[in-house]
Amino acid sequence: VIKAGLFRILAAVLVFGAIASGLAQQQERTYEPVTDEMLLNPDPAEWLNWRGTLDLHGYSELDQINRETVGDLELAWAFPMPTGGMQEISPLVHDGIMYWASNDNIVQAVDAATGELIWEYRHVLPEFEGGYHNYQRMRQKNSVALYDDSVILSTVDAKLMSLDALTGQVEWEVQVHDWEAGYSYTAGPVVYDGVIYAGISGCSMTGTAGGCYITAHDVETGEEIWRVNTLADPQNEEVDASWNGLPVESRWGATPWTTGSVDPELGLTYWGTGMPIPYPEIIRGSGDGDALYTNSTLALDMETGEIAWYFQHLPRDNWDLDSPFERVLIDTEIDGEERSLLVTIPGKSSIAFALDRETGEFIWARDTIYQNVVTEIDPETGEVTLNEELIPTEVGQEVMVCPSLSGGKLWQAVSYSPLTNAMYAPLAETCNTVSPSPSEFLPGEAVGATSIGPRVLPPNQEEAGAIFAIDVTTGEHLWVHRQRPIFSGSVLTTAGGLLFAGDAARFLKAFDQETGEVLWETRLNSPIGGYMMTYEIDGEQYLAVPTGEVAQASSAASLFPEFPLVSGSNSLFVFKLPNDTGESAAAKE
Amino acid sequence: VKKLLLISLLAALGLAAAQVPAVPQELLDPRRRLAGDEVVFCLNEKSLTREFDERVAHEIANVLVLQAEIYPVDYSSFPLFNPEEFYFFLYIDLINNCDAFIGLNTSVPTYPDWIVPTRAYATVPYALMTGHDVDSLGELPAGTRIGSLMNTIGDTAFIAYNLSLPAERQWMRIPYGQIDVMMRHLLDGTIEAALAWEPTLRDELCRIDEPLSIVSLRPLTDVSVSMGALLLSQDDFLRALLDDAIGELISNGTMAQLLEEYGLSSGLSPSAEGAQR
Repeated sequence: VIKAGLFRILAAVLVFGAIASGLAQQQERTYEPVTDEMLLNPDPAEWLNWRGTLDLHGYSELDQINRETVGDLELAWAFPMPTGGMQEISPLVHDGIMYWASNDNIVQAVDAATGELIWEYRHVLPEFEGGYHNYQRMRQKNSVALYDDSVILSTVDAKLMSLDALTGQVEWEVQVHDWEAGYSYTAGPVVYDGVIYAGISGCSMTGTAGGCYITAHDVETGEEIWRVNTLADPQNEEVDASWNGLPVESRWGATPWTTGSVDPELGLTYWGTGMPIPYPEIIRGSGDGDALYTNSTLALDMETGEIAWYFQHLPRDNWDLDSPFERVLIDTEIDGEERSLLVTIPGKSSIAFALDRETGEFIWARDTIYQNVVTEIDPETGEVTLNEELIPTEVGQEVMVCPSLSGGKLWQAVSYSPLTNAMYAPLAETCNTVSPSPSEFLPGEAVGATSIGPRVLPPNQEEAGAIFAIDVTTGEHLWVHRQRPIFSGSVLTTAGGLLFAGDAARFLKAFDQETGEVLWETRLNSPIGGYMMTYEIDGEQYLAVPTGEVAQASSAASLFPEFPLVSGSNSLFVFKLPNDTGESAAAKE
Repeated sequence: VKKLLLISLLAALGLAAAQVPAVPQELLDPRRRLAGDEVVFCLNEKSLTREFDERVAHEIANVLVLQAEIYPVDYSSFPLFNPEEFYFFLYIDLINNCDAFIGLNTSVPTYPDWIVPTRAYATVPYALMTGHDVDSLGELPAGTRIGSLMNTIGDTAFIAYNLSLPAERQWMRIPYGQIDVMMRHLLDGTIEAALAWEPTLRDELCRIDEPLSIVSLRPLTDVSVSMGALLLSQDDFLRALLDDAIGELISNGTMAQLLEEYGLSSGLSPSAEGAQR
């Protein structure tokens, strides 16, 4: 009893302390609510969305750090992540506060100029059964979005939450999906016009058979407005046919595990989906069907969730080459005509596609790294022809597939620069063997039913890492930078003419966007991870770089053994120019 | 003394220690149990064959003129796969609580060196539940929609056999991840037959009031789980005793009677029949 009493007193002191601290901070700070107008046309000094803007360009108009000054960058501050696991955070900045959600759904708000912690929220997670959720909790990506005066969080246990942006206090939380069935968020939400859009993960789990969803919610309450099932569509009979007539409860996959892009003008939000599960069709039972809507782009009506159009980038996937990655919205001129494009490297196969984002019409496709699963893409329709020799017809049959299930492309995001009208993509040259293999479905376990060999380099290739600069009007490669270590983090372009990228050998590099020349590099404590971003405070431009454990850096490490894998604690490094270097944005104005 | 020696040996030999699960020492009880004339069998309470296995444990002890004590444990799933967690708890139980863990699959080729299986006392097959008036899978017409519990031994064998047939003679396999969904679809007519481990099907059959029967997977053969006990590999002497006792139960017909009594008569494997002869 005494212990319980002491505990209560201590807890009360801590809670009051936290509240008092939060209130003190609240009194000291002001916070301008994030509006739709800000999200559409953000102040270049801020970084409001996981890729900066709703069209996912991953580009900053800041230019204080540029080709001439980048060599003077120095450390402003650094911050350790509160937990281990994979480093996939995506910091956001508004009103001088930097927000991120690291693993275990710990949200932290930090003074973006000094690195001083303002508040943190620690989500209480349930005790998970099986390995899946315990892996998910250690690979949380861009799990927060900013809207109004709130931070919107998606969690491992399939909840959406709203936190007060100044104090971190919980405003509301809703259980969107049943985590005990297997559902879990790994990527974050996007918010616009009072509506949260979020894609769920866990669609490879036994208990989630037949249901994988993108949902829309009221930002004030979390109440669900609509949901779309990526595995079934009563409005489209081609979906059932593409699964060889399997009942919906015998379908898995099509996981939308990357946050979508938004085009308010067209009223559409764009999401990518993952592979069908189990990976081999002889176990999945879908015959030679395409398994819709796996590996597809879905254009959804923002008001109703109705599928306006879809495009399947890799039908009949047998190799875990899923295609959920960012869909970038770019307006550009092609053959004298202004086009509204959706440009993407949607999947691990790393083939780049451009579609008309209003209609889904195919514009162009272009290979990047070596792949052997697609033999042809119809230049008129975009219809994909597979290399059927790589489709196993027996349990245990082994085939060599390029790229590997680590990509090619993975979650590491591309960047689009309007300066060059080019998209920059960090990719990896890898292959692995794949063979259908039985593994029992157990509660809490994801099953692909496939044995995977170690990562190896493709034929006649010695360099695993690559950055492709791709002309978005044609798909032409403007330049390709190759190196032995893979690039392990997302890339960032700026109006300073720079492309920032980081690799598994711990090098942070600044490239010239025009030429691919490396202008500056420095070495940090761990592989570069997560999503780099840049912002400005008091006329000084900052560059924030997450580092830490990256799964692809580990799995591909044997491809560049001269750079032994060093993985220190997960951290965030923030750089800026010395005060006496460069002309500040404020000074310019 | 035996267990003290074992722990000391494992602690001394880094290589050997590396082969056993990384169990904290404080979870292990190094004291020797005063077993007297008892042989203690761990038994998974969640096992669908637990009553049968418990009876077998007592029959084995009878042959050895010992008393069988059952130490019930709660393992949430039949441990064919996902071995790491299973090995962790199995190691603790075999050190702390029992001499042998009965009612487990003995035919897993990837058991680590510190585990030794007994000979199998029963071979319990995968089977088919259907409302069709047939005796086996082979009598179902081509194109029949057959649900199959995905990635089980039975499912893997079914896939391989089905793919070996000409397309016009193949059945339509519908994979399922959960037995309850498969049973619901069997009852609503989405599928015409359901393939799973026979004890699983019998467990489901007791709960439904439908004219369904369980039939064999013939012409597929040897699609089964070999039931036996697992011991620490150091317990060679006990393992030999258990093997002899199981052999005696098979040869004197006791096992055949038990299989029939517990509704597992179809599980008498050719090897067991051979032993009986």
